[in-house]
Amino acid sequence: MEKRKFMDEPIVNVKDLSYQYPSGKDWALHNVSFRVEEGEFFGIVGPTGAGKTTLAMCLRGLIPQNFGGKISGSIKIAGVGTMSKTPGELADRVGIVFQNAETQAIGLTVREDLAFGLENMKVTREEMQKRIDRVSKLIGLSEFLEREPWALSGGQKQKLAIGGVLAMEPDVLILDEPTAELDPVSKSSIFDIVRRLQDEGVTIIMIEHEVETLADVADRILVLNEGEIAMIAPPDEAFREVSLFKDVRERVPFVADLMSTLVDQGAVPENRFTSREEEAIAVLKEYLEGENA
Amino acid sequence: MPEPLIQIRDVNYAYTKEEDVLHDISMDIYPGEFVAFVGQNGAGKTTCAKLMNGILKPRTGEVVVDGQLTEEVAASVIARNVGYSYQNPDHQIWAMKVEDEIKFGPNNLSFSEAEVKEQVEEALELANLTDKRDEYTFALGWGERQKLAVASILAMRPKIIIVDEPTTGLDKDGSLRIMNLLQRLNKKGLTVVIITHDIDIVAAYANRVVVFAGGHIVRDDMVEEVMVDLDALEKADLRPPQHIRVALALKEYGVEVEMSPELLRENISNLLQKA
Repeated sequence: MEKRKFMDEPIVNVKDLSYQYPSGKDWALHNVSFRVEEGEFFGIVGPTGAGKTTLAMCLRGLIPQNFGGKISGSIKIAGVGTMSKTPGELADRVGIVFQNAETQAIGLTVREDLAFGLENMKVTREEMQKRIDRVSKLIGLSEFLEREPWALSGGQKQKLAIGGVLAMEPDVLILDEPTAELDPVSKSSIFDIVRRLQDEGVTIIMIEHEVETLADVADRILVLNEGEIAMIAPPDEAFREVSLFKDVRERVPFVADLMSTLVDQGAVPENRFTSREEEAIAVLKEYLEGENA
Repeated sequence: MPEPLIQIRDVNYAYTKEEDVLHDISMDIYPGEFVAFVGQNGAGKTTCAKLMNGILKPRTGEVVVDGQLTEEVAASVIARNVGYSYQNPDHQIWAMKVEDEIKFGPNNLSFSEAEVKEQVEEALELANLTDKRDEYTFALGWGERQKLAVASILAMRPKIIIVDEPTTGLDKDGSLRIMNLLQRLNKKGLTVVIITHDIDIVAAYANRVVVFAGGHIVRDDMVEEVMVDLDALEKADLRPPQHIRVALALKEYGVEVEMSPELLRENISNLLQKA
């Protein structure tokens, strides 16, 4: 399918977004503004209760549509204001995958599950078949199309959840801690899929606690705390602010912590700081060599 | 050397007739240890743990808990000594209110009323749940239900507690809280066994690591040794934590460094500042 093009406009444009749940006393989100460019890998980190999932649900149009509450500001995804659309109308623009793989499958077979969104979108049979073939290969479930979803492993269920969203070919894919409840093998296979999507140019917004992985793959990272943006920056700029992460009770990768210490001590120049493991090891070797010579 | 609390000798175990899920497992667990079981799903970790608290009995070989063969005593007797906290706290929480949940275990183990009261108070306090004693269990967050599951076991005053995946589904803060609780209990003398996939948790808290693969124990050693045994870890689909990966890369390069994050940082910064 031809991707829609939006000249001069970012694919995600959030302006002064504030939101309060119907039962809430405080703002769940307060004056949140950011843009995501097409093809960008945008990471979101923050402690529990920071508003990460709330933000994801706003982007998907589930808030305020399904939840009510007080909302102000604006969100545009692929040129469309989300607040005036139903979640169904947004399905081919923005897809979301949640943490709990157990509760996301609907179909009686993997094939049916992948088709579910497409049927609601009234996609033709032919097109449906093409997309199911393509997506099931991408998520590594093409051998399991006739399997019942409940008979899949946790990792496979999560792949199916990603596949069901991808079949709708959204402009933006939101992943809300998709690997939090998975074992290491399933975790890395999900990250492999996400990297492949990134290479294909899919715009990805990923809420994730695995900061080492974000340091490697993200173009930019948004740090959310108590409903407000604490920082938006590329990983190397973000993870340089070790104390900010400590303040919001989040981790930074070990190498970011190490390199920050070394830069602060003047042992390594500021422009050699990195939060990526391979690069950090290379820098350390270079400087240790220099010292030993 | 004190007597082992749990002795597992040449144990084979099978859920079905066709295939053993544990093959010739032997290990001793001593009082005061903090042990981590790691391995892929299906490697035999949870089966081994269930043999240790007598829910399962070995097909061949023997398991001795506190001097008693598990085959010869009821699981309820072993439960006094070996507490087992399930992966999903909702599989073991049944009471409406927090305090009732914690009371349930000791009430069933024929402690006196005064003992039950004391043990419940102690467990509430240890798990930081004293001010939540009258709350509905279903209204607690996942992390608190996890703590409640542990507290309800502590109230039975076991000698050893086995916790299956204590940090799954918790964020950094929640993970720290439950792990610090287990560490505090361990320092007070409680023997702790955790089953986990989280290598950072293993490196930070365990003294000893048992690596399971395909129903075998492929490595059983001090945590420092296991964290640098890349072959054994790979069999469990694990990589060492990032600080150890960095230390190993530097070692390979000829720079001798320590393996703990703090000492490693100090090492490198000293090396770089010497000049």
